[in-house]
Amino acid sequence: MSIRKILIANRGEIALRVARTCHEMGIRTVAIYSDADRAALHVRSCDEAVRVGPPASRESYLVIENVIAACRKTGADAVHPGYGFLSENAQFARACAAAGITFIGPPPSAMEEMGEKTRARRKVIEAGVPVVPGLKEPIPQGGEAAAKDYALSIGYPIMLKAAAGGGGKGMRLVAEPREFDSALATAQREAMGAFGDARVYIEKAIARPRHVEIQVFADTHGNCIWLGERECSVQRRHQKVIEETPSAIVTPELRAEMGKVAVNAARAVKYVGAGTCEFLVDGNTRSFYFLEMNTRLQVEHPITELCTGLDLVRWQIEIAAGARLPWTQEDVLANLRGHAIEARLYAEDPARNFLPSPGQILELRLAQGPGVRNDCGVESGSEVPRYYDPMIGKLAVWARTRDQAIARLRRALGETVVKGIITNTAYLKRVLDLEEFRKGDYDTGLLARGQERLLAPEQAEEEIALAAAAIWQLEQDQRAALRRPAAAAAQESAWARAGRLAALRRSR
Amino acid sequence: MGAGGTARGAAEVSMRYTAFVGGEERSVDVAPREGGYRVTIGGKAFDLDAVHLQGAAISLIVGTRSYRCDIEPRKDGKLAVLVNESVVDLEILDERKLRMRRASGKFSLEGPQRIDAPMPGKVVRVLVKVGDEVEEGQGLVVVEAMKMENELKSPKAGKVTELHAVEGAAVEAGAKMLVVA
Repeated sequence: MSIRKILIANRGEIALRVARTCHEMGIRTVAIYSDADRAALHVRSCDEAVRVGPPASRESYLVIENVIAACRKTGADAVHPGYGFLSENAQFARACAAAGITFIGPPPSAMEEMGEKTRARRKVIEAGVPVVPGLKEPIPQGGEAAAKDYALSIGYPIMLKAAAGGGGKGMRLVAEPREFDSALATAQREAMGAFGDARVYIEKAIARPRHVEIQVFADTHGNCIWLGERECSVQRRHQKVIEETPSAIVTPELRAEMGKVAVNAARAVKYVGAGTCEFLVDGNTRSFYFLEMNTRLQVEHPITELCTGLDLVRWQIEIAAGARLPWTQEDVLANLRGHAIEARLYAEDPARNFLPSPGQILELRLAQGPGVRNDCGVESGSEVPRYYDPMIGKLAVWARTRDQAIARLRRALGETVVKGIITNTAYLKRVLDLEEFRKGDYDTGLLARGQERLLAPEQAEEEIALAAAAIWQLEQDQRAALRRPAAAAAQESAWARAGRLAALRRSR
Repeated sequence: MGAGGTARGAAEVSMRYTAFVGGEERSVDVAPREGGYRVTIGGKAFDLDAVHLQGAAISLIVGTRSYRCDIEPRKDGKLAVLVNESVVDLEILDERKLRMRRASGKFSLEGPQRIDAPMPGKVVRVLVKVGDEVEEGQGLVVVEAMKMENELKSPKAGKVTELHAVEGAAVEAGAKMLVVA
């Protein structure tokens, strides 16, 4: 089977990411777009583009029939779903199969078995995979009181998680019983909004938890390998902010053990393609527990690419076309090298409680230089629509050691300038400066604990900033004083001009 | 001023501004001088060599220290100034604007407080109605953008006297949502 034209059922940076590999492989590309994205960069980065609906993703990027119709219209023989949107929707994968289109991802049965967390738990427990204690079923309607009793029985703090979810949406930490009711309502509402499924379930929360995930890859010939871990403990409200590989807490023995367990979990559902097993690692004991398997390419896949030298999208496409995994587990071990870190650039304002900051990007300067990789879905002049996720890009670096990688990311963030909208770049730099992070001795509570230092007002160079602002303002004021409609300007006397300048002078 | 043009010569007039930065008020005088500007901030004078760059950016050399300053006017009239690596949020007003600002009483929580949408988005819930007594910090309206919900809270204790937010409606940044008096 050969793939000649791929429809990329996504937007933003991941659509560009996939298109790049397609172009390198000589595969034609089709973009889809909503009305809010007609002018978006991903539309121009593909060979063809098809409109799939109005701005709201439920009426465009999430409409299976529209995406299938776009495939038919353009003769695409395969679909790459990226992450988010339809990437973990088994119904979509089935619709592709029914239409004779190759879905670049796992078989729908594997997606279904891993897609709903409670079901995934049962399945991996059978395969001998360790899991966190918790209620195995979503909370039924009217079962709130029983759920509350159960939460008390396993002991607070507990987690509420969306049964159909991922990416931190519909997920709430509940510290005390009295917070239960409002946290449940919020989690259900967010789950409904993000996944169209309000069901949530309960899980015990682990002290000093570290979020470590294992990248796995499987082919259709029964081979399955792991590609190392990624630590994603730098999270704010369960949204990942910075990811690194290798993890500072993972020893070669632990890596091999977690890798084996992840491969077992994947095999348990006859997995094919790229997948990620997320684990909670107890920061004190290094015990690890399976959380869930993400049946798609992850946002943070570039750091695995940097430390393995692989192109994971290329592997996805080749495996979807029936190829065998080109590497054995020994090849992976022989090729892992150095340290990589990724920072997610969000259009949000840390100083205003991380308020989303959509709008037009007036100027964008991305970092350059040694060891730097940018995956960015926008450019100078781009409109960041308010309808979608606030992540506008990712900045990843590679270096030989962890310390050098941190210094490199710090430097590269300093080169990154986004004007017009507010982003979290300054916040990211401060995260890298936190001592806990520098030492590698952190857990998922890092950002919450560091909040005060992370959000303290800027001290440096205030006087220089004032001087620059005053010089800029002076020039603006002078220009405003001299500006006139063209006709009036032509007739303007030198006296009138002198008078205006004098008036301006008097105002001091 | 075009790309790479010098700021020198263009500035024929010196000005006094009042700046608000980090909650503090500071006076800033700018005077053109041979080779650049003299800027006096709260009595401390700096002699600067300034060159305007493409976009709203200025290269400053102070002694031999070199700074790139990116200036970003924000919708609320404030400026964000990126100096080398750190952003300074400030507001810079001439005498006239300062008087207007003082007269408008924007600094105090006395009198009716207007609560605006902080960003473009959609009103997902309205938690109060006209006539409701509210406490300081109480949630009034929930606006959603980029899949995140944001609760607008009351800046003071008082009564809801106007309500413009409608559940399900799309709003622009700065749209009047309600008034608490």
